[in-house]
Amino acid sequence: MLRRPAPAWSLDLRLGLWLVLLGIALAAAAAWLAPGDPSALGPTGQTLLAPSWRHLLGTDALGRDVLVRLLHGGRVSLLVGWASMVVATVLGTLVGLGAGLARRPVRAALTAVIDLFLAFPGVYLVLLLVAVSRPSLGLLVLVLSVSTWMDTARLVRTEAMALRDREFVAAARGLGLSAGAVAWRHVLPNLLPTVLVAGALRIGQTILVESFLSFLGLGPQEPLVTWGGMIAQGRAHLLDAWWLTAFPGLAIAVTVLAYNLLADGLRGRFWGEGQGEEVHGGAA
Amino acid sequence: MAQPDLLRVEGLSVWYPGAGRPALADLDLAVAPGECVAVVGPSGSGKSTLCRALLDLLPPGSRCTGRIAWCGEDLVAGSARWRGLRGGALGLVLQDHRHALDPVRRVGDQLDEVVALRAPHLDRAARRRRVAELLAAVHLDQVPDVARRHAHELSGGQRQRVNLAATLAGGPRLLLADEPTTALDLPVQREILALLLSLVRDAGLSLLLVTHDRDLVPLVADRVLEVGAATPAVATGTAPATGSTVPTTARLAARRVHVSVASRGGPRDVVCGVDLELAPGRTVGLAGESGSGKTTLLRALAGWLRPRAGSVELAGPVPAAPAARRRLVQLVSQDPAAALDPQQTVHAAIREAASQVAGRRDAAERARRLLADVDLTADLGRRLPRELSGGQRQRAQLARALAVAPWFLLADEPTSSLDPDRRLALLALLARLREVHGIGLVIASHDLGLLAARADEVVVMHAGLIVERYRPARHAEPRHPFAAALAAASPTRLTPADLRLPSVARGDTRPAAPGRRLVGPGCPYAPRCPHAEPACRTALPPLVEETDGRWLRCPVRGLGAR
Repeated sequence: MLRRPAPAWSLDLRLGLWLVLLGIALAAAAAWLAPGDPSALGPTGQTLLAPSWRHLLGTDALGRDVLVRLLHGGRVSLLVGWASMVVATVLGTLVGLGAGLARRPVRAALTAVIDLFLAFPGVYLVLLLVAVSRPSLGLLVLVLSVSTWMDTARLVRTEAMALRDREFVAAARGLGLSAGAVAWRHVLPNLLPTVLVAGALRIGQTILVESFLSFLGLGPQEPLVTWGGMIAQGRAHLLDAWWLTAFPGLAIAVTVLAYNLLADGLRGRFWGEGQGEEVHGGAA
Repeated sequence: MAQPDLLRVEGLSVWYPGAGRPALADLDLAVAPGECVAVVGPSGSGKSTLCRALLDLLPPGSRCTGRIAWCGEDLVAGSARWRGLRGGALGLVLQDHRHALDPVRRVGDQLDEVVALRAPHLDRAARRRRVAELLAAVHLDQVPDVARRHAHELSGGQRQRVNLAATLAGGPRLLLADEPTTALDLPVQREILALLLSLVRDAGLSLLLVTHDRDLVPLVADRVLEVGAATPAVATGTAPATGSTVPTTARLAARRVHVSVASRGGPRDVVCGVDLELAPGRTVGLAGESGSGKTTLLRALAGWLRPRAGSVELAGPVPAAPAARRRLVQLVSQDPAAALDPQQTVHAAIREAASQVAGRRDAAERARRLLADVDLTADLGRRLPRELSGGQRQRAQLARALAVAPWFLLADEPTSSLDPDRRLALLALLARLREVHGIGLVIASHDLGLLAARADEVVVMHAGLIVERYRPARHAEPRHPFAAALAAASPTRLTPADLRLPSVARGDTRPAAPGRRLVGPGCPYAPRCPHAEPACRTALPPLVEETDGRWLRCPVRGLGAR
C-alpha cells in the first residue's frame, strides 16, 4: 500500500526516444520501403495529385510521390544532424577540457580560440562557405560542426573548471594520477550528462539549420532529396498543392521536437529526479 | 486510549531498487504528543531510510510494506494528505546546514518565502513580524541584522538555527531531526540540542531524533529505539596491505607556512606562519574548532594548496617524478562524499589508486585486501559512493589513500561521520598502520580529549595560529585558555547538566565565523578569553618554549620562557 509510482522514465523521455527511434528506423528502411530513385520523374499525367490511397501524401509537379521523397529526405537530415553533432561534440569536448584543465597559457589560448569562433557570425560563415564551393554532404557536415562546436566547448570548459575544484579531483591528483588520467577518468565521466543533453539538443538545431540551407538551395543538390529542398520546390504551388510544403514542414517540426523532448527527458533523468534524496544522503 | 499517538509505525520494511536485503526490516515505532524519541543505530542500519519513508521521499522503485499512521489515520504513499503534512505538521530538521540554505538569498527572505507558503493571507508587514518571531524562537534575535545576512555570513550553528526556524514556520507538531548536529563543533552541538529540547518542552512539540551518537541520547530522549545489529569490529588479524615500510629518514615539514584564500576584500590568510615537522611512526594531533585553519593546513601539507609564503618540504629518499612525490602524502578528507568520484565504484577507485604502485593484476588483489582491511565487503565494493553510508564512504576513502603506500597520512576529522564503535576501530586501524609500516600520522579533530589519548604530540590551532604544542604523555593538560576550553568540550566530559543550562541555550551570539577575526593586532582569542588582560588586545603574543618544554602562545597562563 505504500508503493511509489514506477521509476524515472518521464513522458518527455519516452516520447522523445520513441520519435527519435521511429525517425531513424524510417530513414534506415527508406530504400526498402520505397525502392527506386526518389528523384526519377513519375509517369505523365500524375503531376500534382492530391493525397489519395495510391499516393498517400500526393505527388509533386514532376509526378514524384511525396511520401517516397519524404522518407529519402529524412536520411539526409538525420545523417547531417548526427554527423555534425558527433564532430562538434568531440571537438567541443576536447577543446573545452583543455580550456578548463590545462596549464595557464594553454588554457588561456584555447579559451581565446573558443571566443574567436563564437565572435564570428556563424550563419554568414555557413552561407559564405556553402555559396563559394559546390555544396556536398561532407562540406555541409563540416561547416555545421565548425560553426557550432563552441557551445559545447564553453559548457564543457565551465563544468571542467567547477570539477577541477572538487575534492575528488584533487584527491585523484594526490594519488599520483597524471593530468590526462584525471581528465579522462574523473572529469570527463562527470560531465558526460551535460555533453549528452547538449548533443541531443544540437541534433535538432542542426536539422533545422540544414533545412533552412536546403530551402535556400545551398544544401545537398539533386539527386539527393532534402526536406528543405522539397519545401522550396513546393513553394510555387503553395495555394493549389498544399501537401508539397505541409508534409516536409511537419516532418522537420516533429523531428526537431523529438530531439528537444529527448534532451529535456535526459536532463530530467540526470538532474531532475533524486535531488531530494541527496539532501539527507548522510548516514544509512 | 485517551489520546492517539501522533505518529505510529507498524511493521515497516523498505527495499531499495535492486537490493535483495531490506534497508529497514519490520520496524515498529510510536511517538506520543510532547514525547522525545531517539532512534539510534550504527551507520548503514537504515536510520536515514526511516526518515525518508516517514516523509514519503523514498527513491522511485523502492518497495515498502507496513503501516504509517498520523494521529490514527493511515497515510497513503503519494497522497496529497502526506504532502501537506511534510514541512507542515511534520517538520524536518536537516543534517547538513551547509547545503540546506540558498547561498545567494538573504536569510530573512528565505524565511519570508516559507512563511508566505504556509500563510498566504499574511501581508508583507505581518510576514516580517512572523519572521522576527521565528528568529527569536531559535534565539537568533540577539545577532545584529541576522535577517539581512547571507548563509555564508553565519556560523554553522547559526545556519542550523535558521533551518530550524524555517521548519518552525510550518507549524510542526512533530520535529523529525536527522543527525541534526553531526556537521557542527561540539560546543555548538550542545547548543542546538538544548534548543531542540527547549522547543519540545516549552512549545509542546514532539521530537524524533535520529542519531548515531549514543553519548547524546540519554541526555535528550524519553525513549530510545535501536535499529540495526551491533557492528563487528574492524578485522584485526592481518596487517593492512600498504606495501613496504616507510623509510626512517622520511620527514614532512611545514616552515613558516602562510596559506591565503580569496574572500571579500582580497586574499586573507587562514594559516598564518605555521611550523610543523612530521616523522615516520609518530602521531601528531591537530586540534581546533572549525575555521581554525586545520583543514587548510592539511591541504597545504598534502600539496593540494600552494602556500602564499613559507614552504612544505618532503625529505628522505624521495622519487624525482612529481606524481610519485604527491603520492607519498595522502589526505583523508573530512567529507568522504566529496572526496570520492561519484561515477566510480569503491573497488574501482581503490584499484585505480593501487595501480599507481602495482601492476594491473596486483592492483586488483591489493584493492580486495584493502577493502577487507577497512571492513568493507566485496558487495559494498561494487557500489557507487552515493549508495554507501557516511561511515562506509569514510573507510573507502581511507582504503584508497592506503592503496598508494604513503609515508604520511593526514586524516581530517576521520571519526566525525562514524559511530562510537567504529570510531575506536578506525583509530585502532590507524595506530596499527603506524606501528606495522611506520606511517607518520596527523589526526585533525575538534575533540581534544580524543587526540590527547592517542597522539605523541598535540598541536592546538586557533585562527590560523598555533597557540599551544604539548606532549600529552609529559604535560597532561593544555594551558592555553582556548585549548583548555576545547578540552572541556570533549564529549567524554559531557553531562546532562550541560544541556539544561539556560546560558548555553541562548548562546552562539559570537561573531559569524569564530576564530577568523584576523584583522586586529591582539591575540585572536582575547574577545572570548576569561583570562584576557588589556595587553592581550593590543599585541599578538609570540609562541615561546616554556620551562616545562611545551610551546605556548599565552603570556598570562605561561610559566615563563625557558
